[in-house]
Amino acid sequence: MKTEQLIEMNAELQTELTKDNATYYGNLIVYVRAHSLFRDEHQSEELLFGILQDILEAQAAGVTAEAYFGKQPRAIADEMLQQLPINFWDTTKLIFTALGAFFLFAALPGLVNPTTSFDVGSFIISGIYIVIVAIIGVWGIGTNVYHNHRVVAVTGGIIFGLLMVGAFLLQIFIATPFKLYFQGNVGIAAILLIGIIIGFIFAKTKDKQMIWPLVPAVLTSLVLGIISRIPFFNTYFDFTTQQGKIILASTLAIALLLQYLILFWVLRKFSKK
Amino acid sequence: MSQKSSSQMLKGILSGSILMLLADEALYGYTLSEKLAEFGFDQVPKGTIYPLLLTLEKKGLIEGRMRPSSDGPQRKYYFLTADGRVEKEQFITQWQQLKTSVDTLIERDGKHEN
Repeated sequence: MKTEQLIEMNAELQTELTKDNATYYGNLIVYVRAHSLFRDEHQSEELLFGILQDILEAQAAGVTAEAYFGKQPRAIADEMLQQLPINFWDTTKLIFTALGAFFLFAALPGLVNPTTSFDVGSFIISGIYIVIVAIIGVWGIGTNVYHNHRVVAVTGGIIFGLLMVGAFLLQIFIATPFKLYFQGNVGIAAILLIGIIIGFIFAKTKDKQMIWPLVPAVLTSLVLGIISRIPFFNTYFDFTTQQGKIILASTLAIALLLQYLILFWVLRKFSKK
Repeated sequence: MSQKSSSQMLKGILSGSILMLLADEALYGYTLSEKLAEFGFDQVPKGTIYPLLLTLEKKGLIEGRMRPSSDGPQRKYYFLTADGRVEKEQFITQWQQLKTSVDTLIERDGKHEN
């Protein structure tokens, strides 16, 4: 069975757990996944899937997950993690997937205005920075699962948020000589290509909840980026004029607001779960 | 005896017992834990067996294979390998020697107390 299949089936089977067992197993899976970033993903997922099947069998026999697996899941998880082989190929794949996702989703807003340059250098630096911050964030969430310190969680969340804001500041303040201009048809082609790839990823993703918040910003950037490069719309979408700048800023602000509203809705759904 | 060394001893005994059970038939996590409970290991948290299974698999003493299951998706069954059979025999020999030695000591201890 492929790793992706294991992950999908794991998510499906988890719905059969009772509330308490779902919390117990949910903590275990978050802890193991967060701490196995450098380990063999397939073996780790196979192990987690096997444990879930066993917990479900125990549940059917009237035994809780805690009574079955034990009162010290963290200690057992640490022992399991030690036995999982290190797999740098899996880690490299994960890092490049995260980088690719960042480049795809963050490139479009940077391409909206055809009159400004696209700084490839600062974009790559921000991408690397954001992936490092994301890895630290995932590790932090996993570690806090069994500590359950509210103050640590809130402080960690604030620091994480500030570090993420840092990525945007990096893009603004770091300037490199590797600048590209995407004007006219070249710009339209680049935007369409990115749009098609994002659309393909969106269609292929089964659990779209985490992608929905990005849709308004991506769609707005896509439409604005294309329209501003078509001479027919130049009167309204010339971003060098005051009117064009207002249209650009207000449209992006609405898209950003929508993005946060959807994100808030998704997070509320998650916390209710 | 410290808790750590006692836990190490338990792990060694559990590993040997797992090899003995898998010598009879291929089992998956839950059925293995049930079998262990049948033989008196019912007080041991079942979670303990998962790191042991990983260690035994890493050493090549057992092999995990996904097999169709009657109650849903495929499950990972563990089989004993040729090296596992050798290790099992060694465990039995070592255990019998240890048991004889410890039994003799317990017997002597009992006589002293009387």
